[in-house]
Amino acid sequence: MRRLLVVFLLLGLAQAQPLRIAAAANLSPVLPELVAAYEAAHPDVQLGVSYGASGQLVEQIRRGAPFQVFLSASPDYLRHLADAGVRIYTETPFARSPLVLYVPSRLGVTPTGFDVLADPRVRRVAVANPAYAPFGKAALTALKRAGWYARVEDKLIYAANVSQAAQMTVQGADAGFLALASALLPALRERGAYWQVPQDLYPPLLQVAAQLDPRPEAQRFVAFLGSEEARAILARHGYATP
Amino acid sequence: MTEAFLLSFKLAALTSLTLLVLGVPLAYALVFKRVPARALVEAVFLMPLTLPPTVLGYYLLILLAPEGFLGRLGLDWAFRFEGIWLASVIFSLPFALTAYREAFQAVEPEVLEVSRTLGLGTFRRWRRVILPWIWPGLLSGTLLAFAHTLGEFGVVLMVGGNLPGETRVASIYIFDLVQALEFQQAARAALVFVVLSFVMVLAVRTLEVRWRSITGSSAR
Repeated sequence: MRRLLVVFLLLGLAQAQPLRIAAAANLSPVLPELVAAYEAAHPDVQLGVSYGASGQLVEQIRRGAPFQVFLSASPDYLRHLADAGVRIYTETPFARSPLVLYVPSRLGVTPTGFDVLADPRVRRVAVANPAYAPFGKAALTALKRAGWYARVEDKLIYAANVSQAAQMTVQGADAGFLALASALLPALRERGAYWQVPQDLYPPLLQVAAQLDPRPEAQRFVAFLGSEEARAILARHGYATP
Repeated sequence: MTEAFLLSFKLAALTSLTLLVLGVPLAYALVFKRVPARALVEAVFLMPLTLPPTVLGYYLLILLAPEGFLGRLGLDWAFRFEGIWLASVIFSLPFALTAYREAFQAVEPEVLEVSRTLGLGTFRRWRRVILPWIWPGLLSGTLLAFAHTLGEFGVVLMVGGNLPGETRVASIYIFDLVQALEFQQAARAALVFVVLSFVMVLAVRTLEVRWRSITGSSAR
């Protein structure tokens, strides 16, 4: 048993501390590629990414979670952080994500508007929880502005974040409000169709990188997100870049 | 995947060792010593069995946050490995404690009395009389705590967040893979879990049978 403990201790020492990134869940289809590109250019740096709804990540950071960078799906959540007394060193908007309504092909309908939600075959519509997930909030805002909320309300099922909404849509829900990047993933693209929710129906889902640590490593990664290379990767996954 | 499973094993090993150190004296006291308000004391220690992980996680987060009661004492363990270790110790305590208590209950008081009157010292009494009697029970309780810690999810997610290499244990890693629609990788990791659980539960059962045959108890 003592030998086992020694092995664990050595394992603990051998692991260099990675740069920890808290990332809004909508970025999960694109961030692995960005991380790989960054690590290829900076072999001495190791990145550790944790995904969650922006509101949940704010809560974790407020309670002392050791993140050096926070990628929020909405600038509003950075205000919450600042209000809670968390210091933000730099703040860089780097992409905007379209919101889409996705319907699996097993339903036999192609979405061309909210009216697909009135179809009796659509019984459950996955949406990220609007209480703490920007994509959920955007979806509900759009439904309300278009006058559809009251007719759809009973069909909504809430996911912990927008990528769980995508998972629920693949594994049983009849429709889902997702980030365009999720809808473009092979697992979804081949098994359904999406309709882009008109952008004037919801406040823009602006992805903002916040530097939470004064060290240059954190700043360098944030700067990378605005680089030509990063913008090309983001655009390929459906993001609009500044 | 290796990183997440190694982390799970590290957490489970440290948790079950901690429980061995804390749980054995506790179980001994509960069986052989006069404990005031025994029912109350036992209820407190067994409570994590029925508490939802979210309740335990909620209280631990409040205590371990930098501005929390323990956080201000230097134990700002929220979203750190130490935090999920503490949570696991509390969460698995009932499993270890119940097994240890049963092990001590099987020791016949007359035998202890006789060994004492024969003048055996405390150390030799433990080594010659008590330990040979209880070790299978200790081992099965420790294995149970180990297995239960491996299988934890909710409390670790709440207290630890989801930090790769620090708090992203195997169960949370699978949760992440499913959300990211990486079903093949999730299936592989899940299968590893099924095999591990089976082996461990089988080991616990085998030990129990062996122990019962030593102590001559009629229970199965």
